[in-house]
Amino acid sequence: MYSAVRLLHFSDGHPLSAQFPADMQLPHILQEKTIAYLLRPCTKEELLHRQELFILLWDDRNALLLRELLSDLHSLSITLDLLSAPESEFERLYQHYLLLGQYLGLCEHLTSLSFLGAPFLRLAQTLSTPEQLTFCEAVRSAYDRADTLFAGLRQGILSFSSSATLMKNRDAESLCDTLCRQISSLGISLPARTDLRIRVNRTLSNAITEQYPMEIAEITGLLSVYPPELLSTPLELIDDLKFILDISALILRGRAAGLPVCIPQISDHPLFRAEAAADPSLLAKEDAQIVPNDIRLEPGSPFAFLVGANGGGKTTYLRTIGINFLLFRAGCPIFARSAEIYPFPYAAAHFPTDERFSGVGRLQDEHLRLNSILASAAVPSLLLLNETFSGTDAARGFRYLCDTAEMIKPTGHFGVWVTHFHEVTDLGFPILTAEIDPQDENRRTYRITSGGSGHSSFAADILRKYRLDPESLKKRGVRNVL
Amino acid sequence: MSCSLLYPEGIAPAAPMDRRILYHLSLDRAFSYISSDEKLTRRFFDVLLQPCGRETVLYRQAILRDLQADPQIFARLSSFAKVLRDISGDFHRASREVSMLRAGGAASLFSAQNLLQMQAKHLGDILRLLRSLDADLNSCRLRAEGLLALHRHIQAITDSSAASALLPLCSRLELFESADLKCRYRLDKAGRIVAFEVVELEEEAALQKRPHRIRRKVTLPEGIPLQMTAADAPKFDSMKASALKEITQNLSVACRDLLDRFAHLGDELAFYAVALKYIRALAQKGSACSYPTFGDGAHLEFTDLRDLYLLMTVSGAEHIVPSSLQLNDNRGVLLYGDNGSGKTVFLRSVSTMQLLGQAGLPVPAERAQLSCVAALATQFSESEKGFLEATAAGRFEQEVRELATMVDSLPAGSLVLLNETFQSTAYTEGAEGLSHLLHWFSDHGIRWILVTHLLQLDEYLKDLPVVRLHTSEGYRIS
Repeated sequence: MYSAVRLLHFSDGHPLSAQFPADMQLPHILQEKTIAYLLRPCTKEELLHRQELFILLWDDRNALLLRELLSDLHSLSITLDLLSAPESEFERLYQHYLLLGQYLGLCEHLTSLSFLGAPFLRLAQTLSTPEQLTFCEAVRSAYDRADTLFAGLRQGILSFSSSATLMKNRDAESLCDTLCRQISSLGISLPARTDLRIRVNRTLSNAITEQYPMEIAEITGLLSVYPPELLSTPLELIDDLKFILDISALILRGRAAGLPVCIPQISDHPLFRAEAAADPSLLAKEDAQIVPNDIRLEPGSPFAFLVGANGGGKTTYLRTIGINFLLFRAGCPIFARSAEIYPFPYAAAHFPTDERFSGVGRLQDEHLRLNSILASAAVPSLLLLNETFSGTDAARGFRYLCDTAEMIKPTGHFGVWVTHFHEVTDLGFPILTAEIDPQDENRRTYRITSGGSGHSSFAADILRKYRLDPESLKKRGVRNVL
Repeated sequence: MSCSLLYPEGIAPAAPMDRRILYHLSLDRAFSYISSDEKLTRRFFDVLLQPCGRETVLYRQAILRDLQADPQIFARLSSFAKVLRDISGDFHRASREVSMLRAGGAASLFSAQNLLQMQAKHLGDILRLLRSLDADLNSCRLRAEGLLALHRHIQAITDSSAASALLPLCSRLELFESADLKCRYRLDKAGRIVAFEVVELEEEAALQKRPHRIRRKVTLPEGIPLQMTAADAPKFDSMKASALKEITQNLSVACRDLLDRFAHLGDELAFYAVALKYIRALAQKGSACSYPTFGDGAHLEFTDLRDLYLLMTVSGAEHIVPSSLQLNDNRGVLLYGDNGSGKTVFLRSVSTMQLLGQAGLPVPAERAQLSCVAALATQFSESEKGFLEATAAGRFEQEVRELATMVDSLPAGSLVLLNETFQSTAYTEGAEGLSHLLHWFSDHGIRWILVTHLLQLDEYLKDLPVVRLHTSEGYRIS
């Protein structure tokens, strides 16, 4: 029996905060366990192995093979569940016999997938040791014999004439078959028969066991050599596979929606460079317009302020950076045409939260969270700040912003800070702007451009759209009450 | 597979025409004198409104002639349809119960047994009924292809070995008792019961084949007694119920299939029932009654045609002035005449003749030769409609809208019957507007007959091959 080998390996580093994927809206597009995997760091070697695997999974046929493998693992899991609480001795034996077959099938399946790169090759090697091969041969022999014995037990006749009795199977056409044959010969199509799928109850099980004592004794002997716990090791692969398939499904969904996808290069120096990067969380919205943007956080300009119109795509830009960084860091493909990213050891996001703080106000909460982030941030880190210090008056908020910016500047942290304080243009940081259509200021382009003055948030046109601008409000009367 | 008395094999009903035709031609009023059964008449009108081709017309004419010649045929078919409808009602009630049957203990086993017996009885009844009709039709002289095809269709079932085998099987199942069940279980590779079926062991099967069904205790090989617990009984009952339900479902499918094959007969016979009443009504009024012949092209010819509605309202045909006409080309017919000179009656009688004749019925004329039309449409001058509706419009706009619908929907080869159309506006403007439409109809292979006072049309239509008719004193057409 092979000792468990995981498909995916993790390093000992600090996992990222669970708040980070929540701010990135990841629960809308990925499963909870997948997100947990994204937060765990891995070595550069592992990262490269995973990238190789995901490249192979771009071929749908390979992804299908993994889905089939997962299905086999689920079947094994179900059998083990049933084995843990059997209705009867007959069911226990039967589930145990099934377990042997499923284990053998899984070993063969896993070995056949060695072409899917290092993670599967490692598994195949473990399954091909002489010791493991001898074990499988013995299991096969026991399974085949049990299969032959069970074949004779799978049919029987129950008579309910006076008292219920079980008889061995005999040749007899069922009444339903007779009827179907006659009806069909009248040219009448009958619906296909459906299987019942009823669990064998204890009474029938006991009767079968009693009816076939020799066979049952032999089966018991055969199976007792291979206890269930010996055959359950492959189950540890389930979570790894679910992660891989969930990410593959997201990539497939993104590609179907026209998003660019690439395997990013791993940079040895701190930087975050991506061409035409997109925010996949928007896939959760119906008919969302997803506009890719470039990201350039480089040693000369590692940290930038992002200003511009309400609803112009500033937060989306932050998510574009955050989600793609998480995917990259877990060895997954990212949503960009091309990219080169440094695996920053620490990344954090500071987004507005609901005002449900105990004992502290919004501003104080923002301070506390920001201080915690900055204290944890190894250098260099990736920081994504969204409207931080918007919870106070303009002067004070801007003053806090300046103080924090002064703290960040010498540390060499990378990141973007979204803000409506337009005065940030004078702080000497790179400025990014959410662009407006120059021909029509009501229209957002969702493009993030470098530079720009960013002296308006264009909130008025949004108010006009909903007839809440001053002119519209003047024309709107109060409802007459009769 | 079914066999229709209205359509030859391979011909499907066409889309129905606008029901207002019946109103415009006063057929609703005329047939209220002929048939007091509104439901029956409604079914008759449904068929009338589905335009059909010459093959279908001749098919129906032949059936109607057979029904006229031997009233027993219609009586036996009607009786068959009625009994079948009763079985169908019972069957569908039982089927609803079958679908609601849930596995769940002794109660459901009892229900499953009852439903099995009921559906077996229904299938047996249907097969017996078909055998009875087969015997009845054997004693009738059938000539019409439609009736012969129906008989062949019935014989294909009743003469089959399957029917011979099913009848005794159904009889046995009608007396089926779940207490003596023997079931075979089958486990799948996953160890679950996938099949639980009622079996008849050889010894029992042999016993069933004995005459007089002598019941005797059958000695079966020894088995292992099941150590039943209190919890087991409902589980096994549920499995037994599901085994019975499977048989019942197959019986239901067979019943439904056979019922579906003949379910249409009732509605189809409704058409012939009213048709026969109509023929009798014409005879009572002393009217001529003839099956029209159908030629190609736009030929229209009839002798002594009478308006059906007027016929039904008078004591005898002699009180109605008949009309005769021969037109080699009726692509466009303009009918002028003084008020009260019979223009509308003439239009109605010709239109009624076309509609009834093309449905396979005889017409109230000494003789008639028609040609089939793809569809019939009427636009009769009416009062303003839909005043309270959001789309309400004036009379003229209402007419325009109706004509626009015709232009959108009528296929080439249709016949449009217009009665004083566009007289709800200035005459010159109405005539000019109408002339464009009539040109459009003619250009697109749609025939038309227009009753009008718009004399200006003559000028507008001089380039079209239009027949101009006039009514004169004494309701004569020239």
